[in-house]
Amino acid sequence: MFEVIGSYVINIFNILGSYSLFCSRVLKRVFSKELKMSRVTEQMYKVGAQSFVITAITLTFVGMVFSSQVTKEFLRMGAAKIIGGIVGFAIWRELGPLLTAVVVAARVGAAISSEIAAMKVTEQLDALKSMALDPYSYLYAPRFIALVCMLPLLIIFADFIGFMAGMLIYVVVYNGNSVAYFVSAAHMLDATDILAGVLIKGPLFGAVIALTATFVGSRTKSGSQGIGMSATLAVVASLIILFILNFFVSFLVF
Amino acid sequence: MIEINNLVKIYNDKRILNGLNLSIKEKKRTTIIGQSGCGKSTLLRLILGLEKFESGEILIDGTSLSGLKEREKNKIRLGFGMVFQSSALFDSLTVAENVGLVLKEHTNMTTGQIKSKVMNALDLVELGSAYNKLPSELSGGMKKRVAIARAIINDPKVIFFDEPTTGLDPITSTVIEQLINKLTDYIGATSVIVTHQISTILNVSQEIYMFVEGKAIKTEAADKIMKSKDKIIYNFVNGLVE
Repeated sequence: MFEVIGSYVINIFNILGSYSLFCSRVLKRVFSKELKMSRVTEQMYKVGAQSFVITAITLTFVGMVFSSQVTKEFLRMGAAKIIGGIVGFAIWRELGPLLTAVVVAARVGAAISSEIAAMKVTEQLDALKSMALDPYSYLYAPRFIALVCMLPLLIIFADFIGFMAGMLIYVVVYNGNSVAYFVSAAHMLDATDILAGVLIKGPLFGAVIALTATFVGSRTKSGSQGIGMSATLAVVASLIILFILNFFVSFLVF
Repeated sequence: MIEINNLVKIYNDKRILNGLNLSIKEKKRTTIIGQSGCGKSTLLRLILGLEKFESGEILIDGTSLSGLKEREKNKIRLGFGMVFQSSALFDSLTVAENVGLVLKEHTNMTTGQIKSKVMNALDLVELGSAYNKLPSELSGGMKKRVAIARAIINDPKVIFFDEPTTGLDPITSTVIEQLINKLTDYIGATSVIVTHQISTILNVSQEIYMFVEGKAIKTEAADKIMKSKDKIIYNFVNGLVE
């Protein structure tokens, strides 16, 4: 019994140690001369530009459903004046950054992890090393930088879409006043509400997704089953870290 | 050229290489044979610095790999070419990009110069027409030939071939074996071939070592190995089960 628990604990610390070492190596390569901008821009397109549509769809419907629920209840309580502000709070502080990160973790994190995993099991990572190319500089650091830079941009876009979708429901379904919606948001939200989601959560969440996906992918054991498991594990691990991190950032900042 | 002294590699408490001694001579085609799991491919990975060993020494032109930093290992790696068992072509790159990658990343050659070298290497493996194709569009034999072109592109001093003909039909195997002989002679490289294919052993070997219980035994020359006086070697090459 103690042996099982002991080996389980040792295994967890082993993974955490390896993860820390991996993260420090990636961060070191971010500032190395070996890193080429062409690889970063290529990844920016893959992780950023190609995620715009799915992020827009997600935040449109989240914004609409949130606004619908809030408006219905607040109108009943005679608190129509603060609907724009409440929707703004929810979207800019929490829903925009977190759901964008969730979407990117599911789409991009899984893709990165399975790509690296496939490279591992087909000896492509070894081929890179045998050609004196460092996977940290060639594969991991460009993906890290791309996600750290692109996630804040996606969040700005997602926040805007979600907020506007909320206004659409407020105005079209509940005959609300669009100006009142904006005025309410302008009164209630301050710069921290908007910027913290973009400038703190964005890069932080991007870093978590990139580091977790590349780490999990690079540790894949073998076979097609291993690739599938890596993709799943990368998403699950990223989501758990994101939700925990989101709580602490929100608790400390807001 | 490459000296291996008392090399020990342990996997899951099993001594895969158990005090292995081996000498790879310059400009010779040395073949390493042995049963699956006997540590043949592991040795190549250790020489390339892809894995660490427990004890012993690997000397490349007199320089010990032990204790070298990654940057110093990379300098040595640039003198090597490696053909992996699975070919290990980069899926997202075209054939030309795969072959030219090492030049693009490690030299100051212009795009035109790289293109010309890549075309030359692909012509040598008779795959000039595959220049713009993706690895997924190639057959197993073609992938192997692209991997060979990639391995020779920077005129390495040593080329390693890990099971170059495994899984290929006899005709394609012969083509690959002829390529190994032709290209290693053409660029004047030393080559180390890991295989358990009898045709490859017979057609490419100039020196043969067999791995048995983590140690290397030097065998007879290729033309005599089928009638080896060593029972273990005889049984292996003739596929006899005791």
